Amino acid sequence: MDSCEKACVLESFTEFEEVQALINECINLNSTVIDESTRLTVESLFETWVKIFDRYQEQPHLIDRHISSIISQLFAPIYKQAESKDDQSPSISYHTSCNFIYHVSKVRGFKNLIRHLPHSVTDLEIVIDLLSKESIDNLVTWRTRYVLLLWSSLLATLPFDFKKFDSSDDGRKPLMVRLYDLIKINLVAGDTPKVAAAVSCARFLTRPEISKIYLESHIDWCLNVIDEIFKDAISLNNGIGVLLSLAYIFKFGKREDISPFAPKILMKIREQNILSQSKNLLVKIMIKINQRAGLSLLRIKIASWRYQRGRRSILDSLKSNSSTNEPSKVSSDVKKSENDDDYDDNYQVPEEIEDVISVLLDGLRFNSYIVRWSAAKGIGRVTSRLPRSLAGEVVSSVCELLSPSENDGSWHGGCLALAELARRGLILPDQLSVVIPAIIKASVYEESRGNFSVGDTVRDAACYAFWAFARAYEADILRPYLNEITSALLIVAVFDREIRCRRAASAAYQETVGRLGSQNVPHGIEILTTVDNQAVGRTRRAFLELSMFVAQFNNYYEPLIIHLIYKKINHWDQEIRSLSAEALASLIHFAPLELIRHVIGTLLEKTLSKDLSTKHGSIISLAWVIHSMREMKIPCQDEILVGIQKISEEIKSSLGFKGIKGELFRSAICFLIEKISQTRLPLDKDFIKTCWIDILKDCIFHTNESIRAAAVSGFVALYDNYFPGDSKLEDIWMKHLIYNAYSNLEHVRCGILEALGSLPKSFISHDTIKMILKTILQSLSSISADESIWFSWKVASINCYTSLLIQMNNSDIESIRDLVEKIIHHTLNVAMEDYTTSSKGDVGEAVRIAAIISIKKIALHFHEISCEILTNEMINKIINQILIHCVSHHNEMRLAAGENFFEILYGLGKHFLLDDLINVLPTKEDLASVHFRDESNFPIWFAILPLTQYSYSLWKGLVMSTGGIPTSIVKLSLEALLNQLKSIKSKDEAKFKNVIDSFIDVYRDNLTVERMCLQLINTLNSLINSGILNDLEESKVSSLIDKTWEMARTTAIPKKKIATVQLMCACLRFKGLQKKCLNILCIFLCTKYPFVRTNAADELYTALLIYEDIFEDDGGKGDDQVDEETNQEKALRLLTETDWNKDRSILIPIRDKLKSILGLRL
Amino acid sequence: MGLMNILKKLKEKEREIRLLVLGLDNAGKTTIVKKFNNDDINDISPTLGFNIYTLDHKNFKLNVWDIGGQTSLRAYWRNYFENTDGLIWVVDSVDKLRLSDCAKSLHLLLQEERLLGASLLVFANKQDLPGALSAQQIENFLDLKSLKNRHYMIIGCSGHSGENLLEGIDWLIEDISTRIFTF
Ligand SMILES: Nc1nc2c(ncn2[C@@H]2O[C@H](COP(=O)(O)OP(=O)(O)OP(=O)(O)O)[C@@H](O)[C@H]2O)c(=O)[nH]1
Ligand SMILES: [Mg+2]
Repeated sequence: MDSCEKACVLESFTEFEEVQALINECINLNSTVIDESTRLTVESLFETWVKIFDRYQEQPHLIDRHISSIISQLFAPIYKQAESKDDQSPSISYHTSCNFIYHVSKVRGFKNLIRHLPHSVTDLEIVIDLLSKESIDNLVTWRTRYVLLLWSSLLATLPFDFKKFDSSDDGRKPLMVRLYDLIKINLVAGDTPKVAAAVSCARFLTRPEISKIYLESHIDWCLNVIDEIFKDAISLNNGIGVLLSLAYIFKFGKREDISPFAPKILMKIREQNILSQSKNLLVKIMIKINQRAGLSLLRIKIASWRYQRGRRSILDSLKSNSSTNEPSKVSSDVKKSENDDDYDDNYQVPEEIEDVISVLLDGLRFNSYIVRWSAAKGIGRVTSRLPRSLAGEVVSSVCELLSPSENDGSWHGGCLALAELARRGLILPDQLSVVIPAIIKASVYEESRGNFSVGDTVRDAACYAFWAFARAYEADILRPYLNEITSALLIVAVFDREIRCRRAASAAYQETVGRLGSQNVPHGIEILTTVDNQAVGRTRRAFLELSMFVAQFNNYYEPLIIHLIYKKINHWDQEIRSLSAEALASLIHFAPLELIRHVIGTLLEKTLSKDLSTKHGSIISLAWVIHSMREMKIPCQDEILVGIQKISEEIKSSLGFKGIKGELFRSAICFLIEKISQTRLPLDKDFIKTCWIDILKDCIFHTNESIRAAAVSGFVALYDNYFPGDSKLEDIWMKHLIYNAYSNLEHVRCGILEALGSLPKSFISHDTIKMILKTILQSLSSISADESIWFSWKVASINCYTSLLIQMNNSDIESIRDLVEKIIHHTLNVAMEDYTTSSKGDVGEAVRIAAIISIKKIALHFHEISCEILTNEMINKIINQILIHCVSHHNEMRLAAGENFFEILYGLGKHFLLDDLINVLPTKEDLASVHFRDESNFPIWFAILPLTQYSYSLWKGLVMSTGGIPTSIVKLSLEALLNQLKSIKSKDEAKFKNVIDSFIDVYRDNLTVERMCLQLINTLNSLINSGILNDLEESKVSSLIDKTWEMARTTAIPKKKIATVQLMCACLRFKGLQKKCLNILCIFLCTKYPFVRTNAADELYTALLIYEDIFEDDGGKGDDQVDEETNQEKALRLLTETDWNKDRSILIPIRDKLKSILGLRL
Repeated sequence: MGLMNILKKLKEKEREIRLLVLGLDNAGKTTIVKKFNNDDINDISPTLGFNIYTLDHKNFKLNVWDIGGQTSLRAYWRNYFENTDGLIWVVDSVDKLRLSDCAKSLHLLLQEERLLGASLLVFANKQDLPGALSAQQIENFLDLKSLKNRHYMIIGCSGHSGENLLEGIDWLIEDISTRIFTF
């Protein structure tokens, strides 16, 4: 269980008090009329109730100990209703109670709830009376009907003769007639209560005295309804309740009472060919009826031929105890009874049973999970009553479902049925030799469907079957198969793609060890404690670590290896192929030579396959395995060399392939080249130089970045291992790169840079490096329009110069100091400020991140080799530039910036410049728990705000968060910012001033920067509205207003204008600036854009309501008006009366009138 | 529904046991159940319908159904047979006159198909009264040894003093919980 899962697990029912309060409220709801307010109260009560109980969906048993008390209290209003004379309007608390009870039953299950309901004899009449008052057409009170029907189902078991029951002499119908009528109405009503009605119906009709009266006619009715459903004469919804009642009757009824009806029901099922239906629910119920009707024809028996597990030992030990402990006495009899075989021999199985079984077997193949599941249970139950020979036939038939010609549904149904049979011990020992291999096959069943596959339910069900075997069979019986079973389970546990199958296998393995004893499963305990539910949860860990752990025991390496080479290295999922190849290479270390040779042989053969996945998987596996073999010092035979050449040549000749095929071929062969080179396998050098180099030359310029990277690694390995210092090869390679240096394809240019950045050190001279660096710098400083959106190329450039720089020693760097300084300058001032956008969005982000990583690497490298190029000024600049991004609104950016920032901070050692920061930021140890992507981390950074040398940069970054999108970031960052500002202000007024001054600087400097403009205005707006700036000198605010107005006047972007409107309204709180702001707002009232005009009118309206002091000067009265309307009222009226969408020529006079009311000069 | 879900459900189900308490009227069924549940036993009247108790015992949840034993009610006992894990048959050890009636009722009951898998615990109740027959004697009277394919235990007890009630129930639960197959 992970911590997350754990957190969701509740310990107990903690809301009892809350629930009690709700019950009290419900009981005290007095009225009978529903007005709006009671309706709302009732709704909210029920909503709260639902919310509380829904928390226990997963662990409903926690509410058990409270159910009795809850139910008995909630029944008070029900009894009260029964006494009430008012038939027309039932009390609200009555229905609310029923709603409450209904929801408890929904969460806990009605079977569980029923036994908590009251059940005295007098209740029967009550429930019938109440039920008869509930109309099935009332859409609101169906829960009441549900609860009443459920209640009636319990009362229908009362041990009294219904016929003698009637208390009423008032000429009404007898109770039993009334009850049955009500039940029937509800059965066909079609809504949820039909389920409760079906239970009640079956309880009622299976009573000894009632069954004689009604059962036959009811069953005829059911058969009729079946016909009608199949004819579509009634809807499934209306008929299903009736079918359910039939299913329940056969569940509750006494066999002698119901079995006479079974033949005609089974006949109906055969007639209607139920499995031709596509309605899953219908088929499921029919399968159930089929099964139960079949069971009613078969005698129950303790099928003693069946293999029974040792219970006797438990009893024996008890017996010996009790003999000393009179007067208690224990006796038991589990001996095979002598007449068991008589039973088998003489028992005539009714002929209908054959059909019953055939329907169930077909049900196992049905294309719906629920139907297969139901059929599997049916197979188990029916078979348990069959004589030995027939049972054996059933098992064989089920096994036939696990055949290649059947689809995954049949395999699944088959496994489920075998599990159900095994659970009951119905598979005889002599059938195990057929059954167990079939399930083993199912445990690795997988049918590829291109880029997904089916079969996980089959594998899961196979684990269920093994689990069942472990529980039902004794070790002696299973012993011949135990090794195969445990191998199969462990294969699934470590190598299944699906986590749920791995978990299922791990559980089944645990059961196997636990039940059969660790003496029968060698190392079982060790394995099960390591390969546990949690450990198998992570795919990589399961494939690579757990497999290695398992492999060391019982020669498990062999089945694991065999499974990988035949089932997994050709898997449809590339990730699984890669993991399998890697796992295979590790497992090889356990294997004897012979097996390794077999693996190699198989892999070589598979490399020639036409299947893409197989080819790819086998090539990378081959690479891995040969690598392992060389580590183990196993000589490689010629066939391997030949095989490698063959597949290399084949791929070289198919380099023309584009798309996924071309990519898979290329990535596989590059990987092979790298791995094989590392082992220095004695391949023909001419072959390498021609074939492999040609392949690499192609791949290095591929559009796919990961293939280019594979080619780079391949080349480096090849050069280092086969041709170190070979100047001819160097020449060929460099020429290939430089020849393409002016390509106008981005990926080619990337390939060159990536290759240059990774060249082996011995390969290039200092002069060459200098030349490369110069060229890169040059190309970066004269970027064409096309190139400006080539972010991959920019990133590749940065990565290239970075990796060249950090290979150099101190004196080399010193010798090109000028160049290095220029590079650093570029990184800090150009790359880190690259905000290029394209149709792909913010493509500059990748460049900025690359720049941050680059500067970190450079700084740390210089520090390490004590190179003193970085001046204090530069360090300060680095810190400031990265800080901007540490508070970005973009999660990925914050992550990259945050992590690298701290690497620098704690990597540069003690530096006086950094002391201030270290004092206020988390320590190295505390960092472990910080997730930089997490949006709640802003407070960490805002601690820097008071440090003057950084506050400018911090503001510059954070306005993007506080004034931008998404809202979650705005909210969290703004909240953190305001908290920090308040705290600074309360401690140190002067410092606060400085901080705000930096903001003002940032505002002034960047308002014209397109991507920051709105964010700055929004942030300023939020700051002003928060009140934190109330004491700010008005002159400063005034200058900000000027600056903003300057921008807003000229911009064509309505959003900016609207933001300015809002800002002006916010600034009305500064008394001395009111005139200025109002003037600007009035201009907006007549601006070109209607949308802005209406917006300005709205905003101004609200502002005038809030800032009444605007009207203080003129005593509140207009001069040229005689009426009583104040200026404020007039202004507000003008704003609302006017349609600001109208033509500007109409609006200008109105605006001017407003101005005069506001006391503004015209 | 995969194996992990099946296991989860099974775990819950295996902790729930349904017990049926039957026997002739006045045998002391209600008294025993109430005593076991620590309820007051001084004011018990004959059961005319049935009672259901939910008890927690040894990590198990016991759903105990106590049904009235009067002759007219016995025909309806079968309304309650469904899913019964264990049967508790209570005998009034002093009521020698009705012992053969008791034996007949028990054997009739045990022939019921739906109770075939249930373990049987017989309480020879009212051992505190003088003249009570011993558990051994009642075992013979009821001819329990003739039972085939049935796990049973008989134990003398007293619903009044509570003697041996725990021992009896513990055996029953142990027997049920080690069972592997459900029928
Ligand atoms: N002395 C004595 N009296 C008991 C004992 N157990 C029960 N009784 C008495 O026997 C009488 C019947 O007990 P109930 O518990 O009502 O019997 P019951 O089996 O539930 O009877 P019905 O509900 O009618 O089937 C009561 O008066 C009890 O006090 C016991 O162990 N010793
Ligand atoms: Mg009683």
